[in-house]
Amino acid sequence: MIKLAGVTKQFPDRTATVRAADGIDLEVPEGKLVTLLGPSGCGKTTTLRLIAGLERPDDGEIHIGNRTVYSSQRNIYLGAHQRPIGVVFQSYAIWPHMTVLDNVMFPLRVGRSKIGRKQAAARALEALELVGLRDLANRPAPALSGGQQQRVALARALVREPEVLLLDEPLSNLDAGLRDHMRDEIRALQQRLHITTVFVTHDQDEALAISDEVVVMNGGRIIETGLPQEIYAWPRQEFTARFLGVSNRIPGVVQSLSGDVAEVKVAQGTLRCRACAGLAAGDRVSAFMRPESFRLSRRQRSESSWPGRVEFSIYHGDCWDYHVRVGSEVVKVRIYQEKIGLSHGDAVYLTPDEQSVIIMPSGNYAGPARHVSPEVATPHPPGGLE
Amino acid sequence: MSIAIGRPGRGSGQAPARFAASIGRLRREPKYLILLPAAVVVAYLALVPIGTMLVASFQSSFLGTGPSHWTASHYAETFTSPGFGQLVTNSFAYAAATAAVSTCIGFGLAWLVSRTNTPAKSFARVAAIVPLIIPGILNTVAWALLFAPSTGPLNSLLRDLHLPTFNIYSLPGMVFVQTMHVTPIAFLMGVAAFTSMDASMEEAALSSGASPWCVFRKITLRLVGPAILSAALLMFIQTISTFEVPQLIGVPGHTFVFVSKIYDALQTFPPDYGTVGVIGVFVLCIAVGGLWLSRRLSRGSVTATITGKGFRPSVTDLGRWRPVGLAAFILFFLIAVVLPLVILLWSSLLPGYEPPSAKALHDITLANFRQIWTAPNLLRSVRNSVLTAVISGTVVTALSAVVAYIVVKTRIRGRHLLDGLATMPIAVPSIIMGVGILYWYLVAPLPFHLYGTLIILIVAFITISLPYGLRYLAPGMAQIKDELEEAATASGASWPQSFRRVFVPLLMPSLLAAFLYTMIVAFREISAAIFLYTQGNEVMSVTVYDLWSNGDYPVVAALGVLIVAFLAVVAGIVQRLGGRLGIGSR
Repeated sequence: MIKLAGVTKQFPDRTATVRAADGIDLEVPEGKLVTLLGPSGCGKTTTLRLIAGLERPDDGEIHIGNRTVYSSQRNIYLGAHQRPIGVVFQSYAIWPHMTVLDNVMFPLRVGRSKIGRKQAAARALEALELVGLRDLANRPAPALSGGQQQRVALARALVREPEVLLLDEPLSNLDAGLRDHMRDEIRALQQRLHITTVFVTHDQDEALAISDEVVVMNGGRIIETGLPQEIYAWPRQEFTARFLGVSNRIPGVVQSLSGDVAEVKVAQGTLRCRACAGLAAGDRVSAFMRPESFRLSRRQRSESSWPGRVEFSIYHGDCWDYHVRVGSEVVKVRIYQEKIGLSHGDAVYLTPDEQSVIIMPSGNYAGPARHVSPEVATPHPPGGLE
Repeated sequence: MSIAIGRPGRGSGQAPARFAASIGRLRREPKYLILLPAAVVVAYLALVPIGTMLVASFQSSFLGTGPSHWTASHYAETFTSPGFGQLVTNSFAYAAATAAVSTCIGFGLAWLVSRTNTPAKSFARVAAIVPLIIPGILNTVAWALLFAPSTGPLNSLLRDLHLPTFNIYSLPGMVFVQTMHVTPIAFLMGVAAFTSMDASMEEAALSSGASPWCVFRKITLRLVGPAILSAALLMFIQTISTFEVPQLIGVPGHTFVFVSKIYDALQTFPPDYGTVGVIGVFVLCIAVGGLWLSRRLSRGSVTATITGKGFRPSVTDLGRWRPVGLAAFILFFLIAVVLPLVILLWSSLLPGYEPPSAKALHDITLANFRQIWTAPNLLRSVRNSVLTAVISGTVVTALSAVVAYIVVKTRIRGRHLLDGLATMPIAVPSIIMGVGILYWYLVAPLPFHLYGTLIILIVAFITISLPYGLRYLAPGMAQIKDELEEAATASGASWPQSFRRVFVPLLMPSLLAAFLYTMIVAFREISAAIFLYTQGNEVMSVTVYDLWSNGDYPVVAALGVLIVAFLAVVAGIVQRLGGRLGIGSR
């Protein structure tokens, strides 16, 4: 439905040229919702704007439906107003000099498929109905709350029945409670209308909850693509793992392989965990573990428990976070549903959940890892273009 | 000679060349087809007068009948001529003192309005801005009447109080009158600077234990400091380059400054075009340098603090000093508005000038107004003024909208150059603009003749008010987020459609303000008009000057009253229109 091939966009900056999109290859299947996920400055918004035609790429090809909307070789470029798209902007971009209805009617009253005022109003009301704002149609647009403006923006994007819906961090300006609600609503609407959608976000929970497919981006490149549950449970790249909150990395060596189970020797003991592709005995690997995939106890429960000492603890209400020193490493652990908690200096035993350990060959830095650790010098100025 | 004069024309032709990098985009994005011609027009308007002036300063006999060659002798002659040192001293003293005093008053009042709880703020705002609509020439005339050496009511008052009288025909007199005239501009700049400063900066200092006075000194003043300097420089440039005060106040007291020297050199016969050119270039250099510095100072200082979220300017509690704040405004209003207007009104009602007294009340008559109505040349100058002001206001608004769009909303290479070009006229003293335009249209081998028509005046007014239009529209345009326009494009609107349906309505308040202001600028303008008018094409400011030179004070006053009334009505209408169209809840 949407296809990008080798799409590149550079922004000249004062000091250096920033490659905001660096050879993006991406396919969004019809009727699916694909999320572009990444830290700020990773190129996700630029990619969305390139699809929309709000930026002109420097190189590559973009297809929407069976139309080529951009091709550097064939010198094709359709502007945003010629593409079959609907866009919801981060700031909603509701025109303050119009009423709600005028805002939603606007796409029907401009462009090539212009329709009469009455008909346009009827269709705009339908679109407003879709987002539950029919009653507010005649309000001046600035009189709406943030959530309502968000819905107006959605109705305006959908009213033309575009082939593609593009959402640029649409939830980031809402407060937490409303955000979840709107997220579910957007997903329900998208599935009901079966509209091909690209959703840009920097929030992993949002991305996992809403997507058919998640595209992780960094440094203007696509790091990894996959189903939400795949990306979450078995990331193939260190960047993805880090970005999705897998914060413990323990170096080790593969001792033996049997089927898809690898036995990995680490400083604290041995882990029997799921192997990844292309692994051989004797390989140096990194074992990644989520803070949640440990159990803590004051007494040693099994052979495979690691002795350690609590260095730091934070109470979150529904969980505790601990930093536990095990040998020379500090392991971050998160424990749910515990009432009493441990304090500084307590001796504990850590039992890793071997089923959820993620193994990657060492030195697996997919793409530039500049956002992974702050110690790494940043080649580009941080922030800025996405 | 026409070959030599061809230079500035070619100079203006460079601008399109500078945009060559963008020309490739023309084919891809049709909107550039609309934007490019505007850029060319701006370049032409900005560069031609200056270029002509430069050429004239290097020609042995410019506009002469004999052969002319390149020479630097005018520079040598002018800089070594006796009295040039005095001229420079006078000019700098006059401009610097005016800049200092008007900036202090303007920023002081601005601070009161935007940062304190002084009572009756809306009155205060009006009081500080109203002097803007009094044309400089009328302001000058009014003060000349108020402080007339023997008959001026203020000097009589001083005599009654056994105080020494004030000789207005002196350097301090010039500074005083010019200060009254430019302070509102300093005030507006001050309000902008103070309101754009995030209050949390001051609150942070207060909560660190600093006393309010210390906060004012160490935080407020430091943050606004660049804006103050920048405003002072602008006042300096404005002062060094206007005509009315030096001519009407300075010349009778034999205090010559650059502007009056230029006028003087052009009045002699044969006109000394070389000297005019040299002084013109000299003043131009000062002004360009000052403007450059001013813009450097104002960039990235206060503007950087505008961005904060939940931004609101704090209010300092004046406590028991509140009435003092109000008194400051009332005093300013009395001096800058009431006194000049009252004296104009008073003189306009008397057959010949008399100081205000009970006896004079019996002589009150409307004869002066009747004379305006019946004198054909007076009525014609009124019509000419309205016509030129409206046309140039409209053109400037449209043109500066396009320029602001290019500068603010596009990434076209060369846009900063265009911004510079459109701002350049602010650095070009109007008197030089007038002379430059005059020279150009006298000698340029053009297929049409503008000299002797109203169009040459309109061209001058457009050039002069272009920077002001831009200063109104660029910030107004920057306020409109890109996403609002992009949302229209993404909804299928072509560029003209999104421009017309989304951009223009959102911009309407700024457009109206720009139109109003540039119209008033054109209406008040005299420094350039004085060189460009011909018989039958006088505008009102010129007529006022002529009448004043002839000693026709009562008619001048009557005309002045009508001008102020007219400008007040225009300002009122546009203000109200702007209020209705403006998006209040944004």
